[in-house]
Amino acid sequence: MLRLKDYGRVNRRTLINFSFDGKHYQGYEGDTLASALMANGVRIVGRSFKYHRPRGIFSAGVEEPCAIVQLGEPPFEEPNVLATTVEIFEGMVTRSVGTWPNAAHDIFSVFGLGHSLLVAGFYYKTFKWPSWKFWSPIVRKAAGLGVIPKTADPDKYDHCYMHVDVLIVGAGPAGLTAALSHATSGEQVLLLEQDRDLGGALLSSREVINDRPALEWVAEVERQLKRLENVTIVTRATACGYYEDNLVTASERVGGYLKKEKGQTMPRERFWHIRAKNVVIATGAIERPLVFPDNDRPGVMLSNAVREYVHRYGVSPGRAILIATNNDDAYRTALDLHDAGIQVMGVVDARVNLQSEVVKNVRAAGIAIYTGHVVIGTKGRRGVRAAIIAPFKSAGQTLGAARKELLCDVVATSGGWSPVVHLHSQSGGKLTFDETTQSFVPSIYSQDNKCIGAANGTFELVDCLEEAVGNTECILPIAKPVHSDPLLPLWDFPTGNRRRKYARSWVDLLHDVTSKDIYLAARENYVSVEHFKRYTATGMAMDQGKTSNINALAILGKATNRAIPQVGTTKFRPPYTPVTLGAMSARYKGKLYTPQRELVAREWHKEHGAIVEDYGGWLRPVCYLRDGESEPEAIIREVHAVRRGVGILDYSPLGKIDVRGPDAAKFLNRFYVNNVLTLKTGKARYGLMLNEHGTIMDDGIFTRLADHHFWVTTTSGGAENIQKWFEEWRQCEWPDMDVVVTNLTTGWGTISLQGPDARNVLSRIVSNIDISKESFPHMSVRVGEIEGVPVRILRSSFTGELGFEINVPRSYMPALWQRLVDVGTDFGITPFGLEALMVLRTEKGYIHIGNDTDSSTIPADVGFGGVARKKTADYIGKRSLYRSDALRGDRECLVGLKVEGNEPLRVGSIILAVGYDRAPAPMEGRVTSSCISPALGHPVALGMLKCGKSRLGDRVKLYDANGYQEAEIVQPCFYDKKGGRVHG
Amino acid sequence: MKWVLLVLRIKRRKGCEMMQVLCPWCGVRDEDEFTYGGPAHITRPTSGGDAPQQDVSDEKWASYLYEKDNVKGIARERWVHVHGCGQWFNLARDTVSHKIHCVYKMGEPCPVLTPEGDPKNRND
Repeated sequence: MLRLKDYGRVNRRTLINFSFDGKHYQGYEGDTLASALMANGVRIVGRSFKYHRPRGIFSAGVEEPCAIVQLGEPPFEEPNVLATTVEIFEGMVTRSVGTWPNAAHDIFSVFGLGHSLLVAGFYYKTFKWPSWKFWSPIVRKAAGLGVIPKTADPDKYDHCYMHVDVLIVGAGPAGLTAALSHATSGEQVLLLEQDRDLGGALLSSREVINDRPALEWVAEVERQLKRLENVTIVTRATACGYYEDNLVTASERVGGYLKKEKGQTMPRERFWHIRAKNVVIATGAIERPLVFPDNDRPGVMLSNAVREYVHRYGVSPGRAILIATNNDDAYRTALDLHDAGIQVMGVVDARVNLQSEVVKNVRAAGIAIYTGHVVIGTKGRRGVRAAIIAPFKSAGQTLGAARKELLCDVVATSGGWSPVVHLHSQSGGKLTFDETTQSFVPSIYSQDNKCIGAANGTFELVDCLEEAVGNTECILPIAKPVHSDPLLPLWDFPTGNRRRKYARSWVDLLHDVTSKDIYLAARENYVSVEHFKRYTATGMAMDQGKTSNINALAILGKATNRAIPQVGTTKFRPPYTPVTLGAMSARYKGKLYTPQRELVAREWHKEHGAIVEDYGGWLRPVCYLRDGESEPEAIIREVHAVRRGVGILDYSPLGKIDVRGPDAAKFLNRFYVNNVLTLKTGKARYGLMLNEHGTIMDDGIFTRLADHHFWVTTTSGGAENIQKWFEEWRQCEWPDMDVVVTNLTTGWGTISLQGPDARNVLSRIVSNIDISKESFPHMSVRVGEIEGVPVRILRSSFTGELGFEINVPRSYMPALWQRLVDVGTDFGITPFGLEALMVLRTEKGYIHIGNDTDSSTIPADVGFGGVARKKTADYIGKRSLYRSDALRGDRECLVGLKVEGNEPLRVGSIILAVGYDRAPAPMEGRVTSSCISPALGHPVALGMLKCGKSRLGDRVKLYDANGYQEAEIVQPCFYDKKGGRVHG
Repeated sequence: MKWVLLVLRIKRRKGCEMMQVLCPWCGVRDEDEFTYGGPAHITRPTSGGDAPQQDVSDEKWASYLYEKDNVKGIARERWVHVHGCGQWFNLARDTVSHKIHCVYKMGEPCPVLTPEGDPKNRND
């Protein structure tokens, strides 16, 4: 055990059992997986992406590129979780990713032998034969990270919305001070912290604020903030996206870190949408590692991470720690370790002539300081055993000849700090390169936000606090001013070895990108930073280059003789840290994915054996099963009932739009291909509606109830769009028209009575409307009452039989339905579903918009060319019917397809060109609707065929994946060709 | 058929809302209450009222249908508050920064903007 006495904020009274790679371990409450593994002496926690080199814990936060695990067991599985951020809980099961059988002994590590083949872009160069398609699955298996869970996630996730005056991201010293100053001025403040605890960098240091340990100040501020009603603090919430108009999204881990209890009602995660008048970005900074050969061995860590493990978790990452740095900050690590009783083997600093106080303190503590030296390599097969150092001259970037080997098991490296500017950059803000700190800092803001503290490149505590207080009346917390020696830019150095000009120094540990790969990419002219990123995969995937970006840019700059600002940086895109799909979709899945509309009379349908399916957002009966019947049998029975007696259909989803006003007729006339002006009151007409491209958008029947009052039907499910379409034109193009458009689809139910006996049934309950053949002919409408209930009855038919569509206010719908069924019993009234309707209309050759037509079908293609041409007035889409393409003679048009035998044509089958027996062949058309006609006893189909009208009687060959079929081209009407039955 | 519906549904659900839009009738609302309706101030070529329009040339018609400016900078756009009051209106939006500079009702004249996008002072 490497636990330190009297250190850490973990609760040593509560032991927690967890497992990693099948082995059981114990940790304390408050441990992250990383700190608990470290305390158990586990060094290898993963394998590298390409070469499967052993990797250890590298950092202590969201920047972690190595310690990535698969969390949990199915179905509560989560891939690619960072061991450094996930808190352990009782019974937690984790395993390393992309390894077999485990991280410590991984069979894929043989790939390391072939490293000279696996360079940047190797897959473009190596796997050319036989094809990348062949290799891709093999490579993916060997190189991937976590495994995607195969079962549905049973956990709950939520969305949260909040509007605040000020959003403060990050609860470090700057964020806390800013929160306090805004809160005291009475503003609504939301403080987000990605960690479990407030304090940020103060948690891993021994700073002093107001002459007390800084953490006492943090606790005091936390108490103050929690007392205030205008402050909300959310911890474990990472702000991950910054969008227009100060919208910030954050992902909060609520129950994901807890053991799954039975009946747990808390969501696993919450996804926040926060709209803030002002955003204060106090996201701190991330330390960069130094780049040197073999810097990926387990034991090479970020310097501040070493400090954090000691202070927060009371764990020492090693027994003998060597520190490699180019700046002052790492000296604090050296002092803290020394005071905790951990052996510090020395500080290797590339700089010379150091004057600052912290360096003097380290020297006074008796720690060896190797100024003007760099680490040029590490030794140790399964983790660092020793480091080799050499003198370094920064002027010529050259190494001296001397070599010295220092025994150590951890190398803590610090290459300076990079402000976390992700949110600033996502907000549209610009960055500038700061030479002193060698990092990108915010420069120009484009939204109402500001960056403070380390996120703004202000690294010293005293300056952070001052910046956070700003001009407000908040009392400035006092910290000691510190003088630091400047940082020395140190990116990469030549090996000094003539045979190995470039050693393998890791830049991006997540993707196994070495400085050698960067030089190679530059030699191959991938010099634009965006190209370079994709070619080498630097800064891609989960960590998004949090530790590697600046180093990679600098080395690319060196390779191409450019300074970092000239190289530029890739765009920071959301999310800052990975967000689970569960959190993003939240409750909008399964049944709640989209609203489902149900029929008012659904209970009746269910009781009478209806099978229900989703048709355009409506749950509608497919057919009604009787005892022992199969679906096709029921459909045939229902079709026969309509043809021979009478059927009743719940047609409520049919679009119904009310159009009124003095200009109603003129208005509608501009939409329909058919003439609206000549329609007499009480009459109905079938109409096609086009878009401006001249193609068919919708069809339906428009009826004239009064001079200035129309009742328009649309396809089921099309009503909303058609109403919007009407509104768009009314508001934008013809605002002077006096017309009101109202969608009544869900306000009125529609019952369709179809069949030769329809009138006989209806006559039993209708008294005040004359429904006789003579006074209520086909395609006319009557307004009246049925037993005191207002109705609008339309005589129309989509079945080819005598039909009435009875529209009734929706609350009366079930009662009227029941009444019609009761009085129709003598006639054997049969409820029928949508599938029977489709068979009936296919037999008649009635088109179904969207089935038989597509976005290229014009009226002439479905037999309405004459109507469209005859109408002299302008209507939407008319001009497009005179395009050369609309006029060409070889357009596809609607035909009937007759088949011998009893196998129906398959919808989607392709009609082969004349003279071809076998595919591949030019396509001349396709089958759009098909069924076996119960009335005729043979299969019938509709289709679109090139020059179809002139090819009646031709035999064609059809093809689809299931084989070949033959059919004869006929008129697109199979049943009652004269059309007498609808007038019955 | 069902596949088509599925695709339509996926298209209908956007990701998270981003911009805020000032509806001239309802005030500031999140973007996902609105639908973008293409560029504004496009005149539909007609030969006047309800008269037939065959005499509109192919070029003119094609330009009306397909030739839209792909503005980098301030674009005039039509939007509709589809999950709100249902009203159409126009706005001037910077396609680079997504900043909406002004919103005006359908039929109102298009305000003159400075190159920075601010409505011009009438006294200028």
